Amino acid sequence: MSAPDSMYAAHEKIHPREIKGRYQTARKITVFLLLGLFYVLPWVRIGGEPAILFDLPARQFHILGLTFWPQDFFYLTLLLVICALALFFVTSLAGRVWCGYACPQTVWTEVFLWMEHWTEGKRAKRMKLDRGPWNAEKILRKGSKQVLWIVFSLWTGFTFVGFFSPIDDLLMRAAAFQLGPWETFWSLFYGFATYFNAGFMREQVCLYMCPYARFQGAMFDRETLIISYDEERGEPRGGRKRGIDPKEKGLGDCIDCNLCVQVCPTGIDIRDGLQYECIACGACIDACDSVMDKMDYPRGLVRYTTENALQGKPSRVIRPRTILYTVLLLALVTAGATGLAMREPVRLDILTDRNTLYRETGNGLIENSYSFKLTNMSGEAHTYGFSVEGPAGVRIETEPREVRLTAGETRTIPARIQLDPDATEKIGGVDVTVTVKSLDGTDITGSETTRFRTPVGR
Amino acid sequence: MRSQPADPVEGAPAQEPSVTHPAKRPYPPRRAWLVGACLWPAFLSAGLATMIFFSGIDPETLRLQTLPDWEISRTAGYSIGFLMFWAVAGFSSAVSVLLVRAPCRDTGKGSA
Ligand code: SF4
Ligand code: SF4
Repeated sequence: MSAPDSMYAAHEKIHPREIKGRYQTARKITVFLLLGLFYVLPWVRIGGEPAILFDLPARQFHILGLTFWPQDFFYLTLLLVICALALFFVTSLAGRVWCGYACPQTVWTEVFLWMEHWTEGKRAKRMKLDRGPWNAEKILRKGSKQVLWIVFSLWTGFTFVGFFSPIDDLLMRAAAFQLGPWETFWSLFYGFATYFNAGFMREQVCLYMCPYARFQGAMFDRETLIISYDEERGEPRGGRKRGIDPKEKGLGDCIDCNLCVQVCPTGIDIRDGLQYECIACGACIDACDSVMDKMDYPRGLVRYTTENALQGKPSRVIRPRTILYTVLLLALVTAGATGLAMREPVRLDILTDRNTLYRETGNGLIENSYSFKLTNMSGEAHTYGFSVEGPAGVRIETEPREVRLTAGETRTIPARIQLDPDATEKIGGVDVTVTVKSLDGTDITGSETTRFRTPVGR
Repeated sequence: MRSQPADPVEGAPAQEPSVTHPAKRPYPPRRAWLVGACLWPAFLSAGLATMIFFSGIDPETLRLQTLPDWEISRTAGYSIGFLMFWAVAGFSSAVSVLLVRAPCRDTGKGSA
């Protein structure tokens, strides 16, 4: 088996050199913004309710005061489609900005790199440390890096679960070691995934595992913003002393310092042309600009440009592709917003009684018990009543018969539905539809279908 | 500053080996990546499948109809569902990886 193994090269760790500059500042800001949102949002409460809570056990999502139920799955689908389209749109306009700035993979990797930088020092020092023997300093530096990484990962995993379960309560239970088995599992799982992907895999996720990295090229055209080396201006590259006129020596503007390669988190040389490995982080632009500044050459030997611009042709932002994406996006966003605005402001959820499947009443009817969860999603109080549709003779009783709910209130109402067993031939159960209607002339209705269970084998 | 050979401004050519040109870089780099290439897309598919499946079906209903005597919380239901989807998708990816790799021929005597 040794021959096929040689197909696989050993992975060499990439030590990106740190660099300051416009794009790195922009990246830093987005890292703070995005991760800030991630770590802070679960703690934010609006009017006592969590601003964001994907309450899976209760099957409802709370997002900024709006509550979504499984019946609203349509909106989730729509949101996903809008996100995908927006990604295509941005990619065709500005290339892989998603990768450079917003992908969780790069964002968390960046933070892990910072921690590596704090504990192990700059690039040259890190490389020396890696090559060197395991002495006290190496153990101390690597050890403290691991401590930072692990603590940060654990907190990340915990925060992740905090999106699904109220986080302050979660923290209290975590402190008392009383997390449920699945809460523990998922926080460790997410924490480990963060640690592994951002600490070790890094650029390799982009190179070998990411589907987006492979198909993003299909959204590129000659007018998409890309990061590129200006070959015409740079070549022939070569070292030189400061202050020498490169033209005299027959040189281009690239001084072949390799700085753009050293800063690259994916370890490529941008001067070889556009490569699928490039995540458009802009580090090489900042690196090259800093060199150009020192050499007193104009900036932009490596820069954001388009293929057309590189060849001296004009670049257009408005083109069939971008028009198509814009139209589609606008249409979907409008559809979603209209739908949301027109959502019926009452919600009925039916929970079946867990303990008894059905009951026979004294007069020979089959009775099922339910809990109705009624939510008034409108801005004012209403009184509601219930009715049921199904096989002939189906009846409903709720306790009380009419309920008055204030704005935004949710109440659980015990209910019983009764049916003559001869009315249905179906074995095991039939579907019945419960309708709730406002009784104060506002004509708000909502309905929900549930299962009415009948004796098996009748 | 002069003592630092790597200072870009002094223009000394880089001391470090330059990175391999991407065209010459072997792919995939390591066998372990095949595992990643199975697990990660499977993870994404499982996430999607879980969302679609459980938005229509309440694990509580499933439990009532199949194992009414068991105490399985919804959280457990979702989690088990997700892990099952992941396992199935991962298995399928693994078989695909196996199939797209060229079959091993170097044991055959006749192959040139
Ligand atoms: S290549 Fe994939 S994983 Fe890497 S930054 Fe881009 S989207 Fe994220
Ligand atoms: S080539 Fe430049 S922009 Fe692309 S990943 Fe490397 S440093 Fe970032």
